[in-house]
Amino acid sequence: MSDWLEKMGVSILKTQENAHEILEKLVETARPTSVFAPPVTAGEYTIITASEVYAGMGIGFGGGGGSGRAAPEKPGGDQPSVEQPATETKADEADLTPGSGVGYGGGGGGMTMGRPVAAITIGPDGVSVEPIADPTKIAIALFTTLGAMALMFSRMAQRSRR
Amino acid sequence: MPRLTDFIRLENTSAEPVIVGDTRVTPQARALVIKFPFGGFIWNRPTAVLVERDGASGAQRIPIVDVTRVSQMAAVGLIVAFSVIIILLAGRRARPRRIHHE
Repeated sequence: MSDWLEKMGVSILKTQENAHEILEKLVETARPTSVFAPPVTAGEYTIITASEVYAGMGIGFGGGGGSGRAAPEKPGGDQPSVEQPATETKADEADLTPGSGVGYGGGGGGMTMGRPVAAITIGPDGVSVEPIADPTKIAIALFTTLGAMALMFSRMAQRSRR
Repeated sequence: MPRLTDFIRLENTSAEPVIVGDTRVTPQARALVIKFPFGGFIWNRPTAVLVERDGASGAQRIPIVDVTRVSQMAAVGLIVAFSVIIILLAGRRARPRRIHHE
Protein backbone atom coordinates (compact mmCIF):
# COMPACT_ATOMS: atom_id res chain seq x y z
CA MET A 1 0.00 0.00 0.00
CA SER A 2 2.84 2.39 0.80
CA ASP A 3 4.24 1.98 -2.72
CA TRP A 4 0.88 2.88 -4.15
CA LEU A 5 0.69 5.93 -1.94
CA GLU A 6 4.15 6.94 -3.07
CA LYS A 7 3.16 6.50 -6.71
CA MET A 8 0.04 8.53 -6.11
CA GLY A 9 2.04 11.29 -4.41
CA VAL A 10 4.57 11.43 -7.25
CA SER A 11 1.78 11.52 -9.82
CA ILE A 12 -0.01 14.34 -7.99
CA LEU A 13 3.22 16.30 -7.70
CA LYS A 14 3.83 15.92 -11.45
CA THR A 15 0.31 17.06 -12.19
CA GLN A 16 0.79 20.02 -9.86
CA GLU A 17 3.95 20.97 -11.74
CA ASN A 18 2.01 20.82 -15.00
CA ALA A 19 -0.73 22.93 -13.43
CA HIS A 20 1.88 25.47 -12.34
CA GLU A 21 3.19 25.66 -15.92
CA ILE A 22 -0.35 26.26 -17.20
CA LEU A 23 -0.80 28.97 -14.56
CA GLU A 24 2.39 30.66 -15.71
CA LYS A 25 0.99 30.62 -19.25
CA LEU A 26 -2.17 32.21 -17.88
CA VAL A 27 -0.10 35.02 -16.35
CA GLU A 28 1.23 35.71 -19.86
CA THR A 29 -2.26 37.01 -20.60
CA ALA A 30 -1.38 39.97 -18.38
CA ARG A 31 1.19 41.12 -20.94
CA PRO A 32 0.23 44.13 -23.06
CA THR A 33 0.77 42.12 -26.25
CA SER A 34 -2.46 40.27 -25.48
CA VAL A 35 -4.35 43.59 -25.30
CA PHE A 36 -2.88 45.44 -28.28
CA ALA A 37 -2.92 43.80 -31.67
CA PRO A 38 0.06 44.23 -34.01
CA PRO A 39 -0.21 47.48 -35.99
CA VAL A 40 -1.82 47.25 -39.41
CA THR A 41 -0.83 49.80 -42.03
CA ALA A 42 -3.20 50.81 -44.81
CA GLY A 43 -1.98 53.69 -46.94
CA GLU A 44 -1.03 56.58 -44.70
CA TYR A 45 -2.85 55.16 -41.71
CA THR A 46 -1.67 52.74 -39.07
CA ILE A 47 -4.31 51.07 -36.90
CA ILE A 48 -3.84 49.26 -33.59
CA THR A 49 -6.80 47.43 -32.07
CA ALA A 50 -7.07 47.52 -28.29
CA SER A 51 -9.06 44.75 -26.62
CA GLU A 52 -10.07 43.84 -23.12
CA VAL A 53 -8.98 40.32 -22.20
CA TYR A 54 -10.24 38.07 -19.42
CA ALA A 55 -8.71 34.71 -18.58
CA GLY A 56 -9.46 32.38 -15.73
CA MET A 57 -8.75 28.82 -14.78
CA GLY A 58 -8.99 26.38 -11.92
CA ILE A 59 -7.52 22.98 -11.20
CA GLY A 60 -8.41 20.47 -8.50
CA PHE A 61 -6.99 17.18 -7.31
CA GLY A 62 -8.11 14.57 -4.89
CA GLY A 63 -7.15 11.13 -3.75
CA GLY A 64 -7.74 8.63 -1.06
CA GLY A 65 -7.19 5.10 0.07
CA GLY A 66 -8.72 2.55 2.34
CA SER A 67 -8.66 -1.05 3.45
CA GLY A 68 -11.35 -3.52 4.21
CA ARG A 69 -11.91 -7.23 4.54
CA ALA A 70 -9.64 -9.31 2.35
CA ALA A 71 -11.20 -10.80 -0.76
CA PRO A 72 -11.90 -14.54 -0.62
CA GLU A 73 -9.11 -16.64 -2.02
CA LYS A 74 -9.51 -17.93 -5.52
CA PRO A 75 -9.79 -21.67 -6.07
CA GLY A 76 -6.34 -23.00 -6.63
CA GLY A 77 -4.69 -21.03 -3.82
CA ASP A 78 -1.87 -18.64 -4.49
CA GLN A 79 -0.90 -20.26 -7.73
CA PRO A 80 -1.15 -17.89 -10.63
CA SER A 81 -3.70 -18.61 -13.30
CA VAL A 82 -2.79 -19.31 -16.89
CA GLU A 83 -3.98 -15.89 -18.08
CA GLN A 84 -1.98 -14.01 -15.46
CA PRO A 85 1.81 -14.29 -15.52
CA ALA A 86 3.53 -15.17 -12.26
CA THR A 87 5.69 -12.06 -12.15
CA GLU A 88 2.68 -9.74 -12.41
CA THR A 89 0.91 -11.47 -9.53
CA LYS A 90 3.95 -11.12 -7.30
CA ALA A 91 4.25 -7.44 -8.11
CA ASP A 92 0.61 -6.87 -7.26
CA GLU A 93 0.98 -8.64 -3.95
CA ALA A 94 3.98 -6.52 -3.06
CA ASP A 95 2.26 -3.26 -3.88
CA LEU A 96 -1.18 -3.77 -2.48
CA THR A 97 -2.40 -5.86 0.39
CA PRO A 98 -5.65 -7.72 -0.19
CA GLY A 99 -8.79 -5.72 0.58
CA SER A 100 -7.17 -2.33 0.21
CA GLY A 101 -7.09 0.24 -2.52
CA VAL A 102 -6.23 3.75 -3.42
CA GLY A 103 -7.54 6.13 -6.00
CA TYR A 104 -6.94 9.65 -7.14
CA GLY A 105 -8.12 12.02 -9.79
CA GLY A 106 -8.15 15.58 -10.93
CA GLY A 107 -9.87 18.01 -13.14
CA GLY A 108 -9.64 21.52 -14.39
CA GLY A 109 -11.30 24.14 -16.46
CA GLY A 110 -10.63 27.53 -17.89
CA MET A 111 -11.87 30.26 -20.13
CA THR A 112 -10.53 33.17 -22.10
CA MET A 113 -12.58 36.03 -23.41
CA GLY A 114 -11.68 39.09 -25.42
CA ARG A 115 -13.63 42.14 -26.53
CA PRO A 116 -12.44 45.02 -28.70
CA VAL A 117 -12.55 48.32 -26.83
CA ALA A 118 -10.97 50.86 -29.13
CA ALA A 119 -9.05 51.38 -32.34
CA ILE A 120 -5.97 53.60 -32.23
CA THR A 121 -5.46 55.37 -35.53
CA ILE A 122 -2.17 57.00 -36.41
CA GLY A 123 -2.41 59.12 -39.52
CA PRO A 124 -1.31 62.37 -41.07
CA ASP A 125 -3.88 64.22 -38.91
CA GLY A 126 -2.36 62.84 -35.74
CA VAL A 127 -3.31 60.09 -33.29
CA SER A 128 -6.95 59.40 -32.47
CA VAL A 129 -8.66 56.79 -30.33
CA GLU A 130 -11.98 55.58 -31.73
CA PRO A 131 -14.12 53.71 -29.18
CA ILE A 132 -15.73 50.44 -30.25
CA ALA A 133 -19.15 49.94 -28.67
CA ASP A 134 -20.81 46.55 -28.23
CA PRO A 135 -24.50 47.22 -29.10
CA THR A 136 -25.63 43.80 -27.84
CA LYS A 137 -24.20 44.33 -24.37
CA ILE A 138 -25.53 47.88 -24.20
CA ALA A 139 -28.99 46.70 -25.30
CA ILE A 140 -28.99 43.90 -22.69
CA ALA A 141 -28.03 46.41 -19.97
CA LEU A 142 -30.72 48.84 -21.16
CA PHE A 143 -33.48 46.23 -21.24
CA THR A 144 -32.44 44.87 -17.84
CA THR A 145 -32.64 48.40 -16.43
CA LEU A 146 -36.05 49.02 -17.97
CA GLY A 147 -37.28 45.64 -16.74
CA ALA A 148 -36.10 46.31 -13.19
CA MET A 149 -37.75 49.74 -13.24
CA ALA A 150 -41.04 48.31 -14.54
CA LEU A 151 -40.97 45.62 -11.85
CA MET A 152 -40.41 48.21 -9.12
CA PHE A 153 -43.20 50.42 -10.47
CA SER A 154 -45.66 47.50 -10.53
CA ARG A 155 -44.72 46.44 -6.97
CA MET A 156 -45.11 49.97 -5.72
CA ALA A 157 -48.49 50.27 -7.43
CA GLN A 158 -49.62 47.01 -5.79
CA ARG A 159 -48.53 48.23 -2.35
CA SER A 160 -50.29 51.59 -2.74
CA ARG A 161 -53.54 49.77 -3.67
CA ARG A 162 -53.40 47.76 -0.43
CA MET B 1 3.77 34.18 5.64
CA PRO B 2 2.03 34.85 2.32
CA ARG B 3 1.18 38.46 1.59
CA LEU B 4 -1.89 39.79 -0.17
CA THR B 5 0.27 40.92 -3.11
CA ASP B 6 1.23 37.28 -3.70
CA PHE B 7 -2.40 36.60 -4.64
CA ILE B 8 -3.70 39.90 -6.00
CA ARG B 9 -1.68 42.31 -8.11
CA LEU B 10 -2.50 45.38 -10.17
CA GLU B 11 0.06 45.81 -12.93
CA ASN B 12 0.52 48.81 -15.22
CA THR B 13 2.30 47.79 -18.38
CA SER B 14 3.37 49.42 -21.61
CA ALA B 15 3.50 47.74 -24.98
CA GLU B 16 6.29 48.14 -27.51
CA PRO B 17 6.13 51.68 -28.93
CA VAL B 18 4.92 52.06 -32.50
CA ILE B 19 6.86 54.65 -34.49
CA VAL B 20 5.15 56.18 -37.52
CA GLY B 21 7.04 59.07 -39.09
CA ASP B 22 7.85 61.54 -36.34
CA THR B 23 5.20 60.13 -34.01
CA ARG B 24 5.93 57.60 -31.30
CA VAL B 25 2.88 55.88 -29.83
CA THR B 26 3.13 53.80 -26.65
CA PRO B 27 -0.03 51.88 -25.70
CA GLN B 28 -0.55 51.33 -21.98
CA ALA B 29 -2.56 48.63 -20.22
CA ARG B 30 -3.58 47.68 -16.70
CA ALA B 31 -3.93 44.10 -15.55
CA LEU B 32 -5.60 42.74 -12.45
CA VAL B 33 -3.97 39.42 -11.62
CA ILE B 34 -5.56 37.10 -9.05
CA LYS B 35 -3.43 34.01 -8.56
CA PHE B 36 -4.00 31.00 -6.34
CA PRO B 37 -2.07 27.72 -6.11
CA PHE B 38 -4.78 25.91 -8.05
CA GLY B 39 -6.19 28.61 -10.26
CA GLY B 40 -6.21 32.19 -11.26
CA PHE B 41 -7.96 35.05 -13.00
CA ILE B 42 -6.63 37.87 -15.14
CA TRP B 43 -8.43 40.96 -16.34
CA ASN B 44 -6.31 42.96 -18.73
CA ARG B 45 -7.58 46.16 -20.31
CA PRO B 46 -6.14 49.05 -22.28
CA THR B 47 -5.97 52.34 -20.39
CA ALA B 48 -4.26 54.97 -22.50
CA VAL B 49 -2.00 55.86 -25.38
CA LEU B 50 1.11 57.96 -24.88
CA VAL B 51 1.89 60.10 -27.93
CA GLU B 52 5.29 61.67 -28.35
CA ARG B 53 6.30 63.83 -31.32
CA ASP B 54 9.74 64.82 -32.42
CA GLY B 55 10.37 68.43 -31.52
CA ALA B 56 7.36 68.69 -29.23
CA SER B 57 8.00 68.99 -25.53
CA GLY B 58 6.32 66.40 -23.32
CA ALA B 59 4.03 63.53 -24.18
CA GLN B 60 0.31 63.65 -24.76
CA ARG B 61 -1.74 61.03 -22.93
CA ILE B 62 -4.97 59.97 -24.67
CA PRO B 63 -7.17 57.85 -22.40
CA ILE B 64 -8.99 54.84 -23.86
CA VAL B 65 -12.62 54.91 -22.74
CA ASP B 66 -14.58 51.67 -22.78
CA VAL B 67 -17.96 52.90 -24.03
CA THR B 68 -19.66 49.54 -23.44
CA ARG B 69 -18.49 49.38 -19.82
CA VAL B 70 -19.50 52.98 -19.17
CA SER B 71 -22.99 52.26 -20.57
CA GLN B 72 -23.34 49.15 -18.42
CA MET B 73 -22.20 51.03 -15.29
CA ALA B 74 -24.63 53.84 -16.10
CA ALA B 75 -27.47 51.31 -16.34
CA VAL B 76 -26.50 49.75 -12.99
CA GLY B 77 -26.22 53.22 -11.42
CA LEU B 78 -29.66 54.12 -12.77
CA ILE B 79 -31.20 50.99 -11.23
CA VAL B 80 -29.56 51.69 -7.85
CA ALA B 81 -30.62 55.37 -7.86
CA PHE B 82 -34.14 54.45 -8.90
CA SER B 83 -34.38 51.77 -6.20
CA VAL B 84 -33.25 54.23 -3.50
CA ILE B 85 -35.81 56.81 -4.65
CA ILE B 86 -38.61 54.22 -4.72
CA ILE B 87 -37.70 52.92 -1.23
CA LEU B 88 -37.61 56.47 0.18
CA LEU B 89 -40.96 57.34 -1.41
CA ALA B 90 -42.54 54.10 -0.15
CA GLY B 91 -41.27 54.84 3.37
CA ARG B 92 -42.79 58.34 3.32
CA ARG B 93 -46.16 57.04 2.17
CA ALA B 94 -46.22 54.25 4.76
CA ARG B 95 -45.59 56.49 7.79
CA PRO B 96 -48.82 58.58 7.87
CA ARG B 97 -50.94 55.43 7.43
CA ARG B 98 -49.48 53.82 10.54
CA ILE B 99 -50.21 56.93 12.59
CA HIS B 100 -53.77 57.00 11.25
CA HIS B 101 -54.40 53.39 12.34
CA GLU B 102 -53.12 54.02 15.87
